[in-house]
Amino acid sequence: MNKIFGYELRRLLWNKLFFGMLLVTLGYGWLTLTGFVIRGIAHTAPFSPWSFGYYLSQTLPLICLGELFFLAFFFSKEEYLLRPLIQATPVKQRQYIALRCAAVLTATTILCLCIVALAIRFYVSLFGWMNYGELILPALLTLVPPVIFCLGVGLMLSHMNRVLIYLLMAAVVLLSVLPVPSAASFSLSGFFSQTPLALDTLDPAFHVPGQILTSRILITLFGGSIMIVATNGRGDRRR
Amino acid sequence: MNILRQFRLELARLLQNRLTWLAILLTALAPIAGLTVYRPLYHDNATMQGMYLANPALAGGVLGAVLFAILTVWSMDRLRRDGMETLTHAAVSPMTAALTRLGALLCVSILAQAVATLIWLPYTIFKLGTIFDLESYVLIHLIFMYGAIPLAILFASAAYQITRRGDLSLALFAVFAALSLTVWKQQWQFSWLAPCVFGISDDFSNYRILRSVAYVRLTWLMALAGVWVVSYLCVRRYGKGLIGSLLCNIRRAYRPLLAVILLLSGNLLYVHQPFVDHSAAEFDFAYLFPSEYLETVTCSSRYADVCPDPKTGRVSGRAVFQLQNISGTEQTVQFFIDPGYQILSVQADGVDVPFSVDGYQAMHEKRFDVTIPAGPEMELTIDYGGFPQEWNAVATTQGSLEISDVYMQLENDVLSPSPHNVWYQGDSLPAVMELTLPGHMKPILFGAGSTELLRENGNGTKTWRMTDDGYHMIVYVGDYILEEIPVESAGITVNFYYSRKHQPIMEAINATESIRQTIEYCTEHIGPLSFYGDGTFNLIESRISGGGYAGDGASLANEGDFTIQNLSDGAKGGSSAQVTIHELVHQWWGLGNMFEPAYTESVWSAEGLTCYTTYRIVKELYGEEAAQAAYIDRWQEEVDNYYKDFYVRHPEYLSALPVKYQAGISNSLWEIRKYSEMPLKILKAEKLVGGEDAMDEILKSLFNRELNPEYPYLTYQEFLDACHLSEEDLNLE
Amino acid sequence: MNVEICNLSLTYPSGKTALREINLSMGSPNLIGLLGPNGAGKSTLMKLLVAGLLPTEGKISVDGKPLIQQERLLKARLGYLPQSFGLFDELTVWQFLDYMAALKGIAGSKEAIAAAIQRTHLEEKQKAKIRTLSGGQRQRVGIAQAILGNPHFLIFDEPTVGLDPEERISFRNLFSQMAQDRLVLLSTHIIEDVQSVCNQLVVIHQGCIRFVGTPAGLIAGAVGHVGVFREKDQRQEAGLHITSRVNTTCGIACRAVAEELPDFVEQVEPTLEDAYLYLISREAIR
Repeated sequence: MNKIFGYELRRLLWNKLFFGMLLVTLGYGWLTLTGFVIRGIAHTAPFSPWSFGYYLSQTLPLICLGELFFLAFFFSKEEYLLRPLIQATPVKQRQYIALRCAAVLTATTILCLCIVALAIRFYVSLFGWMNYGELILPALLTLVPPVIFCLGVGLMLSHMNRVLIYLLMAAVVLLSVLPVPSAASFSLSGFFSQTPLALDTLDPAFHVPGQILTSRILITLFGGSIMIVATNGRGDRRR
Repeated sequence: MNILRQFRLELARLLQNRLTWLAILLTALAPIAGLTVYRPLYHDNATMQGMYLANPALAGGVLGAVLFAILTVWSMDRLRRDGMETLTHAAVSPMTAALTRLGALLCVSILAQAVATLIWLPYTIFKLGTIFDLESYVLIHLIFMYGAIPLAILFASAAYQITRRGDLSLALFAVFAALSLTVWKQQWQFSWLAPCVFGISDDFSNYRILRSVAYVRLTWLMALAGVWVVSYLCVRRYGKGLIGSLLCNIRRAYRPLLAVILLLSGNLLYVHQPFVDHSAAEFDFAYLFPSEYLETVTCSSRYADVCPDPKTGRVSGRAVFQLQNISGTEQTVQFFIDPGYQILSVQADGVDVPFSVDGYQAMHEKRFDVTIPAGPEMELTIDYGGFPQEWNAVATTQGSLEISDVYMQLENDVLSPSPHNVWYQGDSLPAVMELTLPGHMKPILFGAGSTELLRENGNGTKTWRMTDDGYHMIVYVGDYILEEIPVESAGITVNFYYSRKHQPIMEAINATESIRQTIEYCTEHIGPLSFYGDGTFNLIESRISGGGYAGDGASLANEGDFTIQNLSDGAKGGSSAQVTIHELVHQWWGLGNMFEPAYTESVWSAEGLTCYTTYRIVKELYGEEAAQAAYIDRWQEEVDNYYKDFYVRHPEYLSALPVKYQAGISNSLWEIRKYSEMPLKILKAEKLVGGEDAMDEILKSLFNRELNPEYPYLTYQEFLDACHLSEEDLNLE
Repeated sequence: MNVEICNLSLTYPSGKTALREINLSMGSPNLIGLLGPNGAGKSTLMKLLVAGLLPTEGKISVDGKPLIQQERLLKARLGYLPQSFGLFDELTVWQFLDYMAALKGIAGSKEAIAAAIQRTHLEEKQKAKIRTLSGGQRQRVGIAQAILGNPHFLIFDEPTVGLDPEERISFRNLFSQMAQDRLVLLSTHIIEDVQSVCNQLVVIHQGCIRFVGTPAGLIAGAVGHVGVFREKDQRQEAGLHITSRVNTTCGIACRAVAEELPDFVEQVEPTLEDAYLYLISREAIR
């Protein structure tokens, strides 16, 4: 199975889609860093976990779009034509889908790591700042739930109709720009840019309110559950 | 197959598809978004044309572009999806097919725009009433709306031809569009999709902003056409991949040559744009002052013969200066000129003298040096001309330097060069200008001075002679009505000039009363404007722009300050007419006569006292609650944000940043201090000195103080002394 | 390996019946040719055999056990080449086969891949990206993935489409060779392929099996129903199914099949193609 995963990942990464998305996301990330984050979000330092979280929340829609494009790659028409060959092999379909999900997840993780690396380079070169540990929590909080959510829902929708995944992309963009309460926010941009302002102290230490944490866990669990359902309930054969 | 026949077939194929008609229909309906969800010109002083014509057109442009990008990718991908490519390529060359497909898509987009322009016509006529003007309607639809659509088609088509992937092409387009709507929003040349349009005038013309947007569209059109030709070179042929096809297609030299020419044209258009100057990003205040004055050179008079061309928006002129160089040697005299102008020749007493133009620009000024010969008396003649440029610091609010046969705004260096490092022979250097204008136009001098008709030229133009007692000259030209507003308690008469088109609105909102009240208040609480000899001053309605300004005996307020929405809205309280009031108050705490005349890095400026006084007037006219919300709360919020700002608390990080980042941050912080921190400090002083009445007395005494002719400006220290306070007393928490 | 098909029917949700009460028994070693016109249900039957579809009625048993229970076991011993299929264009031939070998769980995949490549004459192309291959070469990659690991049951749906005559003969021989100890099901339109290698024939028409037997058996059924004549008047052709028309110096020589041959038609020995056409035309008249 490792070999199949390796091939799937290689197909995804050694692809102009991945390079295109990486380039675009990094470009957008750099513009966000130099245009907004450099001012410091909510009066905190540009390199505070709040500002960093805000930066990730701004690039998140592109990361999710990238992830959904990777997923769409596996459900393209060309892949559909290959399905009879795959179905005739003894490999379990859910195992095969899980492998492809893992490949998508790995590619998305690489995309995220590049975005994080860009920010770190920005922080080091402009501020000489190197306290990387502080960035782990906002990164996990911002990136993991939406990535899992998009993968789960995207997988489910792809099984229904591969066009639906493009609708999900539109929904992701909408979810990111619509003014929704922080707890229900997809990208958490409101949480990062507003929470420090509501606190009495300047440069508040990064902390996650229970409500936000719960909502993020719920988003992750929901995405994960949908993913499990979509992987298992695969009905290729028409009766 | 004949390319035209193929084009017709492609067009017919496209038009037979329901999705194409859906795109046309949605594009035609897209301007609805400009009335509801996407209103870039929706602020307090938006004009009627801004609200009901520009906004729908801009929204239509954005959505139309998105729709046509989707249609482009879909129609190109369909052939491949359906496996039709093999069949079509057997009949026609893929290169020809790519061309005809692009042509067909562009034709469909023209059809969609025509439908949109036609169906929105009745609505716009209904909403704009007498303001409606067919030429503006067509131009705004064409430039603001349609301008974006071919760009989207070119980009989407190029993306598809390069990647051969529908999803990837759409993703690239989405990012390209998102960039224009987000990070490029404040960069006027980059905003390809949603252009930077600050205001559209109801009363005057809009040629400058229309030209500017059209120019941006043209720049992008060239660049994207270049990109498209590059993608055209990537059209897959003979079963080859990207590189193989490129190598094959590139063999016909005219193709890559065309791509290079187009890309270069785009680049040249970008670099040599004529609308905005190239001032240094950081505000270089020192540039405005000569490093040293020439002790041995004086200037005794200045005169200019200026001809603005309403068709091209360009200005040509000849300036004549009477100079005295008693040094006995050659001297280098510095002049400032509008950064958009070229110096054609400089002559001293009819003999050419050398000059050099400084490549550096700052604070919306360009300097040139003239080497004058020795001589006790000489006439220096400078021929100049060009397209006046606006300051790049306000590039997103372009349109103020309008020159058309409806309206002209000619300010200082736009009219003629001004000497920089020489002393005047008298106390001041009165500016004398002869201005040749179309026969139907009449100039209005901004400050104190005189205007007279010199002659009627045979070609339908008239030449006006204008004299301004001060050094500067600002002229407005348009179809103005003059209303004289006597303010008895102040002993002055306000010459209120406003557009004839605006007369019904001015009457409806009773603008004269609002003006009278402001002047009465200031006269009573600060003092009469005694320094105006003839007891008048001009209040001029200008074309909508970023704000108003005030100077020697005159004040400017833009048309947005007098719209029905603003002035009749009582609920808005102070905010409704605050800009007008603010600019009027500048007559007392003027930009030109009571404070250091040029920009300085100090936050003590005319703005502090002007903002404070405006607050007081709004409080009196509209009530405490309205004033609190519109001023004090806003100042406090701004100042709170300022003190909490990371770079204010940690200046070491700011100074460590590269200069390009430093400039933007420093400028925005400085603006907050000037417009919000200082008024709040004055408010604190008001409390410390015992209230409003006590402060009024102090301000009155400062306003009427004995002037020191050496340094006639009001300083912060004088203000503190008058309040018996120290700088520390006014520190804010 | 034995495959039993009992009363197998498949009706699509749209109501269209693709297969109706199919009964068939197949046991190895055998090379069974599946013939039938377009849309007869051949590919559907193959999809049912590889558990790509589920029947609406009836059942398929593999070695006496229902296919649904034996699915993984069957697939572990199955090689399948569908009529239309996609390949990973960005992989090389070797990588693709390696990928498929991993999916099939083939131990010693390197040897298996090398053998498949050698049998399909893809040695020169093993390092080439699939996107660079011709149609025939892609078809060979498809065959190579089907025979990977020497499966016990091979299903080929139109395997020789796009291959040149030399390759077709070579693959025909390969199928025949493989059928010595396995069960091979070969669906094709090319009668010649079937005639050359198949020892059993199944003819499907309109979702039903019309013939099961040897090629000789099918030919025998057509004796007396095939003849030749020289065309004089087109009206002569009424009631005849013309199978060939050759322009000669002495006029047009026609070959025809019919339930009853007219007097002017001279009877000849039927070929497998004549026999197949006779069977189908007879069914059509019915």
